[in-house]
Amino acid sequence: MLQWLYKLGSPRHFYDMTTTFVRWLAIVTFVLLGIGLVWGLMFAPPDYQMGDNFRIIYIHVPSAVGMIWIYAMMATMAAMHMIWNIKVADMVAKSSAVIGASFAAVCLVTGAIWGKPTWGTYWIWDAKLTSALIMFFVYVGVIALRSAFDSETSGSKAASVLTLVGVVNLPIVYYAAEWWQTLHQPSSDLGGRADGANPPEIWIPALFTGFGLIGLVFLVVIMRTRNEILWRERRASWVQELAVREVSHA
Amino acid sequence: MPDIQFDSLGDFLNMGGYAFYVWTAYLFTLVVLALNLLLPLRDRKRVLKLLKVRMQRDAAQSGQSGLKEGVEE
Amino acid sequence: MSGARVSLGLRGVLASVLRRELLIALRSPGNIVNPLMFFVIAVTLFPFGGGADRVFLASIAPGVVWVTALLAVMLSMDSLFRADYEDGSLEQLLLSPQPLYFQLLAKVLAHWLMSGLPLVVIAPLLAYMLAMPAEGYWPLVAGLLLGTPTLSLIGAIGMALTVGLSRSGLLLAVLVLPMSIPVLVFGAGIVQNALNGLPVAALLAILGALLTLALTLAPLAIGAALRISVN
Repeated sequence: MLQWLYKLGSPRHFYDMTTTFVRWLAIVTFVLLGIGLVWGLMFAPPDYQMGDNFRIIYIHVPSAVGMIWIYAMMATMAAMHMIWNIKVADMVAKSSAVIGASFAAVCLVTGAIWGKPTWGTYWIWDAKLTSALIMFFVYVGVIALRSAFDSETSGSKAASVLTLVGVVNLPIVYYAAEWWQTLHQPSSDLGGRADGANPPEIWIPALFTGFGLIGLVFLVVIMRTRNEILWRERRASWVQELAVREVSHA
Repeated sequence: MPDIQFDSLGDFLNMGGYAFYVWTAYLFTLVVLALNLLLPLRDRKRVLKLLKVRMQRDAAQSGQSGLKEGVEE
Repeated sequence: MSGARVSLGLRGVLASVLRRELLIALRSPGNIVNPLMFFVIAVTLFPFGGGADRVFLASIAPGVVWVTALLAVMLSMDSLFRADYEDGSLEQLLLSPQPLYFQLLAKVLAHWLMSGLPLVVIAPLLAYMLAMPAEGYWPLVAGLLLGTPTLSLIGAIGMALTVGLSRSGLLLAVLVLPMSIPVLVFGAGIVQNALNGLPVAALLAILGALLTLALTLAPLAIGAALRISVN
């Protein structure tokens, strides 16, 4: 196991080991998402209060949870990059930022659209919405900081530091937003979430879309990391041989 | 297996009157996630192509003169 | 630099860095005056934009003063490391045998004394101009006193990350502003609570806790970031 993890830290091995894995992951991801979406959109019974509008939760809730866990993954990778100087960890962190920002955007937009018929407005300054917005800003900041550097190494290190600063800061932002909301308005109940109060025929499709989206995150991160490996290892002979092989096929 | 909740395709598309909200949300999500999948695929092709072009250029240059890696990104 | 290692002791390090920074700042008074003028002018804009109705002004006063102070602190950050980065003394600082943590702490403290403290002093005047009731003054000053050093420390992290970049102003804002939100929320909340006759001690304690956290962790992040920027 340790040997295996150690090998993943080497760009070439990471690339080789993910070559077939990425195809299987793509199949599993699309099957899970397909089942979840068809079930959620067609078979799950409408919510007794929100009617068919509740079907948005099948993408909203997983994207909200994903947005947080992607940050956790990115921060772990940033720490590994800072402490042990593992190059692959930094490439994974870089790849995570974009899909993380995408999830935050999906979470915000679907939440706003869901909120219009439910609350009567697209946006309220709810603690959860506000924190999601700030999370989106932080993702954008990490991406912007990395791309502002000309040097790959400096950009990587700076993005890692900022990511880790965000780990301390984001929980504080969340609690501040929560406190601030109680000051300004009564706490709004986000209503029928996919929690225990709902019957299984409502939350089981959410499991499918949830695991499907997890699969998608890993799929996208691995694909981006593989591209990153090819680019950063462009002087290595195995990459050059691969380029000759792959391009002549096309 | 539970039953389909809608009587017809029109009924399904109508989403109990929430068509605009449900379909906008799903469409946005689909577009964002599709971009996340397609961009890396495109990048992969680009990177490999670029690498091959560079190699050919380098090979040609090193054949003519000692100049290698003349233009660096 | 001589090869001999001179140990100044903690107090010596703090004192000498502080003295140097304050001396430099006093020689170029713009670093003190500019954030202050920005603060005053930006607050003056709000009545022009939103109307001079005293009830309206009073209702936005805590938020306006706090947000503007936050922006003033952030804009003042450029003078923290920029000059040292350009003339190479930042490299000297990183290489010096004295503990980096305390040198950075002293640097940020000096910077706050020159740019943050004047904002705290002038804030009640601006609050008065915005028709804030007098019960809000002390909570405002106390909150700013605890909050602006935290903002300086957070801003210093952002500045340390971007000091090596040529066009860093807007990027600094993108990095630092989201991180400043908790201070803003609790700081403006203190004034709101005071104006509504609610207790403020707990919120002041939270601001104190945030300051303690920033004092403990921010110099580490600043140090790591400066090493990257100087490399």
